Amino acid sequence: MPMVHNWQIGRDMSYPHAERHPQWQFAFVFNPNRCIGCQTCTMACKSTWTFSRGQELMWWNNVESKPYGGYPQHWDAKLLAMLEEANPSGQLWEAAEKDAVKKPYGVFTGMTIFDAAEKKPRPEGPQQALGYLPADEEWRSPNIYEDTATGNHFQLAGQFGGNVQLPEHKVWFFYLARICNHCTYPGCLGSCPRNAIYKRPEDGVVLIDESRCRGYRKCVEGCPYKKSMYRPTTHTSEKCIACFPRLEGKDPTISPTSAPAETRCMSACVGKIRLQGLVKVDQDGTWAKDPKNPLYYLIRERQVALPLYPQFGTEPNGYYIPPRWVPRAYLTQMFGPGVDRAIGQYSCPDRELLAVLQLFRANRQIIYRYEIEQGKKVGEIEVTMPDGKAKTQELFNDTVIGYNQRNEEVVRVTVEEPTFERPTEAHVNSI
Amino acid sequence: MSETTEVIGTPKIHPSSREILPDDPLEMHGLEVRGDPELMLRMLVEEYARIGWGLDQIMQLAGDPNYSAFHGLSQALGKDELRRRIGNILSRCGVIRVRAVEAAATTEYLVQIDKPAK
Repeated sequence: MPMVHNWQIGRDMSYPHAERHPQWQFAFVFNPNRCIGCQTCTMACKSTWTFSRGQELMWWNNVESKPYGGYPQHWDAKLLAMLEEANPSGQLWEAAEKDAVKKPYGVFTGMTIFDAAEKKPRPEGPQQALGYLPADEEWRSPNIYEDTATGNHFQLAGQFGGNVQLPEHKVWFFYLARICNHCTYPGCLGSCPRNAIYKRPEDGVVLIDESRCRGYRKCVEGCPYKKSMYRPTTHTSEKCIACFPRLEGKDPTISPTSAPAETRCMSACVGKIRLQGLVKVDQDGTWAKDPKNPLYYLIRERQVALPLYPQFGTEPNGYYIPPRWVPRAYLTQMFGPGVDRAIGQYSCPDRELLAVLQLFRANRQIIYRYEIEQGKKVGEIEVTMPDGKAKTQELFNDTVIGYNQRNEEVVRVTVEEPTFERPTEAHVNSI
Repeated sequence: MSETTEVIGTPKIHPSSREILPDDPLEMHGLEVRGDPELMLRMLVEEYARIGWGLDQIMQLAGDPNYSAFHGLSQALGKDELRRRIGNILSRCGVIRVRAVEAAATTEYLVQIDKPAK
């Protein structure tokens, strides 16, 4: 296999195709700290794209409750186990060896799905990317174990299966919203024997050419995130298309000025957990330095948002701000060694980071650039740091202004003076 | 007329009272990863405070079984105790307020559809 560079794992790796990069790359940041699992994004996607016959099991966007939920069930645990089997005790990071551009999280010294397929072929037969084909049962329940945190005593009486025997598990769970990550080195693309999958050069969106697809389901097998899905009525696979008509600004209702707009799932998010956009990519695959692009700022500059399972090796372009209350070992497995830094920054954001965080779902047009108008200090609040200790955070009356592709101002969000509610029992003698 | 209690056909058993079958593909096998409910509560409350939610709004979530995190904490701790704890957290972290102004739609691009074109 040719060698390509993957900055998320800090090294070159095998990939079935030679290295090529789009001019721009579709990317997004989700903030699971805020997600309430309302599934509005899921329904927005379902009602837009996957509503017809043969697509009953297909949910391009889904929200699963971690650690137990998954669609298909246990997709991540299964692949992690296969990688562990291929490289026992070797799936490790050399986190100390860092470089801001080429290896911001250190170097992953274990096997990616492409390395494992090449070096440790499965007894079932050769693969381009290590993977498995989920059984029908595993697709059957998109929201299985939703809201499941602990054993029986914590479950809603009578509403969920009382026969589910879970260990005593102190209260923690979080919602993981997922769409196709439109990876830089997609497992689906690398696995397709028909070369029916391609990345668009203008925005890096990964699409399936339905006229070439013959429904071999190798993409379903090879996508580590299981975001390529087989449709039995057409005998072809389908996947998230990143709502590309909206990205292109081609919808006259949504984009009367032809300015690119966010996808349906992003626009529908009521919890304001999503920020989506496009980042400029250099010819060598690194992101062109653009610190006023909110995605570049959050992902590359501040590293507050991290890729999902970077060790799989596909260089996914979906990024997550790790949920702060979740045990660190679990998060490190899911988001890599950048978790400590990301949570530390997010727990007590400085004034610029706090301002940029206000851009999430502030407008449905894609924000290409932001500016900040600084205001005076309006207060101090106390925040909880990852170690459980309190820290004082200063708040400023700053305004963040978002600009679209045409450099027109589309939104401005101002942080105002905080309000405090004092607990009544502390002031029993007050009038 | 005599009443009969004889059950005909396969008896109906609610899934929650059914025996677990070892080969059930949907059966969960969970591993314990210890967490800290107090830390989760503090961080969830801070998170909602960051988007401008106050005590009453957060307590409304706790009363709704569809929002399992807060509702579960409410059941585990009791409603009054949860309210007290959330109040204490909010008294320290405050509720952040933001004001968002979206740019007005540019009317020159809008198409008038109720008048026929000349």
